[in-house]
Amino acid sequence: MAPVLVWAAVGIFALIGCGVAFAAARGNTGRADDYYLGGRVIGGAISGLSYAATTYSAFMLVVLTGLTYRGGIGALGFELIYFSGLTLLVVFGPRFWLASREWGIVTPSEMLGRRYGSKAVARSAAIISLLFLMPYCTTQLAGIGLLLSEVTGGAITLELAVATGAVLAIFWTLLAGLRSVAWTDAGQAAVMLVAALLAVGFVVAAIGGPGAFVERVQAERPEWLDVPGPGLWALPTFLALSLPWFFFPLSNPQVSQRLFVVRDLGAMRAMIFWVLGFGLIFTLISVIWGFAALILTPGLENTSAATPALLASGAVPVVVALLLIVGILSAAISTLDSIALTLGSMTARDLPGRALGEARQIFVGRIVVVLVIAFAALFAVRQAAVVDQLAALSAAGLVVSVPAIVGAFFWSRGTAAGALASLVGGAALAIWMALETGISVFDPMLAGSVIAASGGLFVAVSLLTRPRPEALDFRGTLAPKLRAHGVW
Amino acid sequence: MTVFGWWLTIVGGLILSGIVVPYGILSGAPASSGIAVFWTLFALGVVAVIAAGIRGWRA
Repeated sequence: MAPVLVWAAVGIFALIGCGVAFAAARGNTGRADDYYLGGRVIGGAISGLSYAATTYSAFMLVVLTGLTYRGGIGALGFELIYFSGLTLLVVFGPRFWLASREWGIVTPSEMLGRRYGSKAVARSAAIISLLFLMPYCTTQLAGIGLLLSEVTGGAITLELAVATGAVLAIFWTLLAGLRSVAWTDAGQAAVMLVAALLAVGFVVAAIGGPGAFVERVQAERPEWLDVPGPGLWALPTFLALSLPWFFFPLSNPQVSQRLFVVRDLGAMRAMIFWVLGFGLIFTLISVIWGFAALILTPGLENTSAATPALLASGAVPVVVALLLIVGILSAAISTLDSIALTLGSMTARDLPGRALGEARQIFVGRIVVVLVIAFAALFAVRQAAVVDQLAALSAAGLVVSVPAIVGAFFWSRGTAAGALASLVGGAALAIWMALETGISVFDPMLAGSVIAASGGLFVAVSLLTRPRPEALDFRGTLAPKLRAHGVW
Repeated sequence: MTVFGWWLTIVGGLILSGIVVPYGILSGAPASSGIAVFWTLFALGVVAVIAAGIRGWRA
């Protein structure tokens, strides 16, 4: 594909995005919760599309497509177990929202710190988020780099593509914080969905229509319709990848922080429906796209290149291919800027020894946004070949926050020492197992051990220690409010 | 059992079925789309239980 066409599409996308971000910036008041949470007045559609765009990243049309190409239908099951993790929002969504309103909480790590009455808990949760979300940021920029360089035959270099994505993410985040991020996310979600629907329609048509598509997959790749399929999706691997991803709505602060931003529970309900609709359609599209690549462009050695190969196959008109490139760019940037903003808010509110003023919180957050994205860009250029491993490792690492989160709302006996031991012990184990012993994220031993250790430490150490006097009683305080809102 | 208890049980069973049915029952069928169809129905089941879970929320 001609680089000039790709640059033109990216340029139009950037201009429209900047217009949306500038328009969104007009609502800002200069307060920290306004910058990081959009004043807590975001409606259902915008928060839902923003949540969806943050959750469904470049991973979908780069990595998940590649996993389908390599291993078949197991990729659909893996992604749908992840999708089923949205059931956690029924239980935890209103609790997060009510706690944030009741105590003026801005970040998920701050929520844990306030609940257990410990700054060390908030600080540890923030540091762990920084540590494990870095690889996840890197995969977004690596996805952009891989895509743009592959579709242009290297005319757009990996470095230039990564730099383009990084500059856009930094600018849109710095401009107006959550408002610009949420509004650009919503627009990007629409682009992602429309582009992917059009593109998958064209490739299925090129194969001969839905009936012919199914017949050809059944005839040419029957093993890919089964589990474990051609080898990738053995049950242990399936569990190793699915288990930590199931807890994504709780463990990943860039999405759990979205539960603080909605204006009321009606908006949260609408948000959840938007995420469900988007997630289901986008998952099916990504997997169909992977099977289509298998039919139209067989024999690829690097399965992460399935999407660029399909775009270059001639099955997709140039205009639609350009739209899909912008859609994937959107998916990556919307995830990246949300993560960077969340990490900025955690650094500004949870790491300093004493509370910073409103203006300083925003300033520190902005510096962190630039540093996070710059670091991710550097790492993406050097490590682009290990996209799958890095994305999965972040899920296995972040899951250590789940026991403390569940305990915050459902176990009054949980203590600061228990939460701290769970967070630090679980994270240390994840790092040791992955980096020192070389256990792969495709081995269920990694996620299973981390979850067991984190949960076990939380319960055992809590039973051996006492709750702090300054700990908040989430369960007791929120119970009448939950009843008033008709929440279980 | 409370309504919430029933809901949790159904959700647990649904998620377990998302693993057990494809790997334990449908695996090995010759050239079939059964697993793909099952997982699509599983996703619709997830939507249904979430819709049931948030139906009673009041703004």
